[in-house]
Amino acid sequence: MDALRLLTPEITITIFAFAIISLDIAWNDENKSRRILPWLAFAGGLATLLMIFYIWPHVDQYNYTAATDAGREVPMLAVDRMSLFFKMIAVLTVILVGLSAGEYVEKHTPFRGEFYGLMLLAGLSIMLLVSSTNLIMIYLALEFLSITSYILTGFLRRDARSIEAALKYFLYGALASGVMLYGFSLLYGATGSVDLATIAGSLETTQAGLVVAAVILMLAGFGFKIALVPFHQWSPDAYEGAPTPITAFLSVGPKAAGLAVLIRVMVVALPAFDVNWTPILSLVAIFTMSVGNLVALWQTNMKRMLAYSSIAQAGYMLVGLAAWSAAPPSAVAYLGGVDAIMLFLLAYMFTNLGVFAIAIILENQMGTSEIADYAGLIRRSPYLSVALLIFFLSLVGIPPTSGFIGKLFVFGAAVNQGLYVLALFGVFNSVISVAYYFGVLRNVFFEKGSDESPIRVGVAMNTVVTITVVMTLLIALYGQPFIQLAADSAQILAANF
Amino acid sequence: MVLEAVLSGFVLALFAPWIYKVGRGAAGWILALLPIGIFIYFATFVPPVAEGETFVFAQTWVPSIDISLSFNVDGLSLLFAMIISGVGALVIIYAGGYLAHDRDINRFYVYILMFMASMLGVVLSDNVITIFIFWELTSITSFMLIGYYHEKPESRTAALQALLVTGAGGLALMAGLVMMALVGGSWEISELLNRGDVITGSSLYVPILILVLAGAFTKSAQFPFHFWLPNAMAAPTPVSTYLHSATMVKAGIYLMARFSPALGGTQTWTVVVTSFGAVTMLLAAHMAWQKKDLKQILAYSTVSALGILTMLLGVGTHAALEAALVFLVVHSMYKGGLFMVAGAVDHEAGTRDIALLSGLRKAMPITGAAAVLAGLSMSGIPPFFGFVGKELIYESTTEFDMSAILLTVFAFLTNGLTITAALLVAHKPFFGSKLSAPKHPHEAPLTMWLGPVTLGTLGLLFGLLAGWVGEFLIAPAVSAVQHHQTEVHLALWHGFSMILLLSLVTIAFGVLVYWKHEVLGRWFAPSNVISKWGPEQWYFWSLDGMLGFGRWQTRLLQSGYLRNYLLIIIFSTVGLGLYTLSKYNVFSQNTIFRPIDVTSYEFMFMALIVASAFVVTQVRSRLAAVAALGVVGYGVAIIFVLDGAPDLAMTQFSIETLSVILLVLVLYRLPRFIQFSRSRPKKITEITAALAGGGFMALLVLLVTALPAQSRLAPYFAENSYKLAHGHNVVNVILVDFRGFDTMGEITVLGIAAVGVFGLLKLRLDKTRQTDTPPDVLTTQHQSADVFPVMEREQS
Repeated sequence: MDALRLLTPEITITIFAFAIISLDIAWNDENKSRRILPWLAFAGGLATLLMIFYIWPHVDQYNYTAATDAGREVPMLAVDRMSLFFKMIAVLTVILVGLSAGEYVEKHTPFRGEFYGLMLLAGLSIMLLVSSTNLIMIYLALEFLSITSYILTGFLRRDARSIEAALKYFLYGALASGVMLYGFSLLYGATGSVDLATIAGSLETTQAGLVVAAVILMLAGFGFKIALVPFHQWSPDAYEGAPTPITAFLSVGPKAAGLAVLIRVMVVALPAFDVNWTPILSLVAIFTMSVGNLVALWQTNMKRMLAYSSIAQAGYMLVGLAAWSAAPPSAVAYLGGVDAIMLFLLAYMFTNLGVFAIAIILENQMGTSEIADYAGLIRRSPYLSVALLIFFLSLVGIPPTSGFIGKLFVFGAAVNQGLYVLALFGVFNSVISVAYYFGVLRNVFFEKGSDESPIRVGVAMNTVVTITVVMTLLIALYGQPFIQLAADSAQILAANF
Repeated sequence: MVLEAVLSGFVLALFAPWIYKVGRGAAGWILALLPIGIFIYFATFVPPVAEGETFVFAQTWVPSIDISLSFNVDGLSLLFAMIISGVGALVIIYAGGYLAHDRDINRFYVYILMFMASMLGVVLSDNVITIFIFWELTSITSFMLIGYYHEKPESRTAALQALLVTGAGGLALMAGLVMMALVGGSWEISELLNRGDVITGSSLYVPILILVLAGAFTKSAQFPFHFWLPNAMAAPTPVSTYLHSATMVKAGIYLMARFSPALGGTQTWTVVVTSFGAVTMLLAAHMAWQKKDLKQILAYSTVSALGILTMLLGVGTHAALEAALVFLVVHSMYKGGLFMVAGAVDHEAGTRDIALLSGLRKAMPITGAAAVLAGLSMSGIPPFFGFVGKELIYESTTEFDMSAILLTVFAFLTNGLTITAALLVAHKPFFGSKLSAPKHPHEAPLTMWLGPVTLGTLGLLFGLLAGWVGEFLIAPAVSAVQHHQTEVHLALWHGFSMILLLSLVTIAFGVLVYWKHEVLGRWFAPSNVISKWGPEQWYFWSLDGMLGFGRWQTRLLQSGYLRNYLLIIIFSTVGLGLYTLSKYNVFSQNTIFRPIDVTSYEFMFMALIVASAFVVTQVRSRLAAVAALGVVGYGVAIIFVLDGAPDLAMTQFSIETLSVILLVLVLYRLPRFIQFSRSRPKKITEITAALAGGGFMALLVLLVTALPAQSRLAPYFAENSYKLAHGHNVVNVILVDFRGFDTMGEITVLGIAAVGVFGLLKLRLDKTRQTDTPPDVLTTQHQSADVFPVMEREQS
């Protein structure tokens, strides 16, 4: 396939994004046609997804689209199964968040189109980021994602908290990407290249120590996106202040993107250097899991609790990367680590977006997201209550839900590499998480609520909840195709050895 | 077929609310048809299994990781499956009466059917992942069932406690099972059982054993995890009957029995399992007779019975396994019956306090008769099946080769106190003079006495037909646990022996304690400190500890102040970076203290940069700070010029100019300048952070510049600028030719930014506040003590 066709998903989503923004400007506030803009965004998401499926079968090996740099062929974007997998995650996130945002956006803001246009652009930035194989491209895509995220976080511009959240996010992000840039320039200085594959090839002239220092500085930037401890502090504040659909987006999209780029840097650029990354990755994973879970324990606001819980979830994903880094280079074991991360991420995406959909429904109805207000939900909406139960089971990792399969793979990968302590920390953290997830469920099922009026669920919302519930169960009950998908997508590994 | 038998419970659960809508009061009877059907289905397996056959049913599920829905019907799983379905049918019928007037009874049916199906899954699964899946499902359904009386806070607390304890154990179990599967090389349990020597010989044997036992001990309420079970008595009585005596708490026992061919037979196994079991059985028996609440007595005596079973599995001899399986059947029958009796008494008389209950036999003759039948079996009186069980227990403890005497003394005390508990539950409420109960008691309805009467009668029948039961039910189960075919001969009468004498003395001891239980209760009251300092307190302490730790580290890490966040980024990257650099010994090379070629005017500009950076931190006016920042930027640009990068310098100049102008424009809308860090410690931290960050970066620059430059760009441009672009000025060629698009992009961006700035300046969002008062948000934020206010955050 030629380069242009490999980029059709990106091109499609860009066209839709700009079409939405232009129409939004062209139609004035009273124009009823504006109502189609969310659906246009939805159509754009679906079209992009179709393009990804269209490309998928053609990408069976490590495939580059070429862009020129200084007159020579230097690949900037890789269209391989791994990037397509992450693009799929990004687009699905945009679609599901877009669908659940409708009522919320209508209620809280006067700008309908702009919101959806920015969402698509954020999706585009993730798609670029997960394909990047060049430090400069990584930086540009990362900043693109950051800037769209800052704007979306501060989208409720009459709400002081939303503004504060955006400002904190921005200032924090500015420092983090500054530190990351130092890392990039150090890596460039040490190896003389900004291309990941070339960096990998320059090991004989480079000191491992400098590369390690560079990677640690870069970790500040990637860790900021994934919200890894100790670069996580922006996330609870930003999550609480941001419009809830954006919180949902932040909890999946940038995390997936950061993880993808971290995986790519680790897998493509670094394995040649004889450095043992396992201790650092394990340490960060342990801290991320533990801090996330311990702080989530005493949150009483749903959004904030989910912020911490998603920090912890990112920690579990990092366990998979630590397991990968501990494997001998030739091992393509069936519990490999990277495929485990992908499977976990797929499960996590559906589950977490499902939880947020419910949080949005309840916030639309009740105006708050305090956990105390979830009391007696079972009487108000048995369907949502059972859905919430399934989602939380999945987040804890209890069968028969997708989260269980994800954790089985991730911890299985760790055990397989002999990282027993890490796996044990993971299991122990899962136990802690039972306490706060089931604390919410206790309210939902056992407490008596002050209000017993039934919860109204719109069509779009209903679709989101149903899709996410079905997928959460399906990945567990009929896991084979998804496991295969993750394994195929991780073949970037095989191509490198 | 087995798969359908297991899954049918889940399917029926989905329809249960609808069946309740149609069937109303008869719903219990209708729903009980399913467990009855399952029971009959499994009963057809009894003859072939007794012949030594096992049946395996497999269905692939996730082939790539070898998870299959495989089920194995052998003696052990068959015995459990029949107990689960049989008691299940009786409990569902019983619940139809017990909860008849409850508004949530439809939900109850859903949960209990799902629980039954999960429990069947646990005992029938032949795959380590599948067994874990069903295992966790029992924990979740039990969470729902214990919390069923959700108005009561103690129900809710107990539900969460049971879930945390058994859920934690379950996750440990999963870790153990996965490790066992990796060591044993198979995910099928029946395969793993063939590889016992590989597993016990592996270096991971002890961790595997600990993890698997953690799962079994939490589920089966062994000391020190036993406390959740008495608290779970907050559940409705049908739940206590089913989950907390007959089935769920036996899942741990099942697990130990199932895996004993793979994990058992070692000294570690014998010592650990036997001693946990022995301690649990005696402690719990001692707690049981001092309780005043019928259900509490039964709960502690259940813990004690589970201890006996664990102890017997630990001993692991043929006699002990025989005893364990007989006692398992005995216990399910009498304890199930007695729980139902306790529920009926509570339902009809309005209390479960034994001090208030007496002489109910006239009012509740059938319930009373059922209680007596079960009580006799529990006390181990011939010809009840309980007698057979007790004889076998003594037989195995007296033959224990490590310390027979100690174990027999433990068993003696436990059995004696069990008899006391049996008398307290089955004798005290029904005999003696009539006391005034809160409600006027009358006989329970058919639904509520059917269960206890059936189970009580079975206890008698099994005793009379002991030989037959031994051959068809116990022998196949013992064979399964021992992993080879074996025979069991049960009989009521073993002739006069030490053991019979021991049984008689036990009965005398039990009756004596019962007779004097009020006096003895006062004597032994101090021994209850264990409940004050016991494991339940550890549970609460660890919960509190976790919460406290969480809160402490939130204060530390999540203060809400951006200043702290940024400090953490700087310190952690510098710390991690220095650590790795020192680990890789980069300092040892002669890189840091080397002569660097610096001209005098470079020094001058550097001094200027440092000085203005210092000024930025010191001045009290924003305008001055911005100006000083501008000086820093221009200084850097001049250094670029000096180092031969005029294009970079040009960009730097224009960006610097633009940002200074922008900042000045923004400044004039901002409120009064405030000094952020006033206190000395804050200043010291900030100075440290600045020095650490700057120093670290300087160090890195030194390290990198020590390397030979590897850029291929400079030679490339030098070589090609004339060849390809016909230009002698390399910089010009780069700007307008090689990077022509870049330059165009830069110009465009600058232009758009300028338009944006212009738009912002012209923007009058709100006419009233644009001159004097700055916008709301910023004001609020600057008026607070630090840069940003702490976001409103909940306190637990």
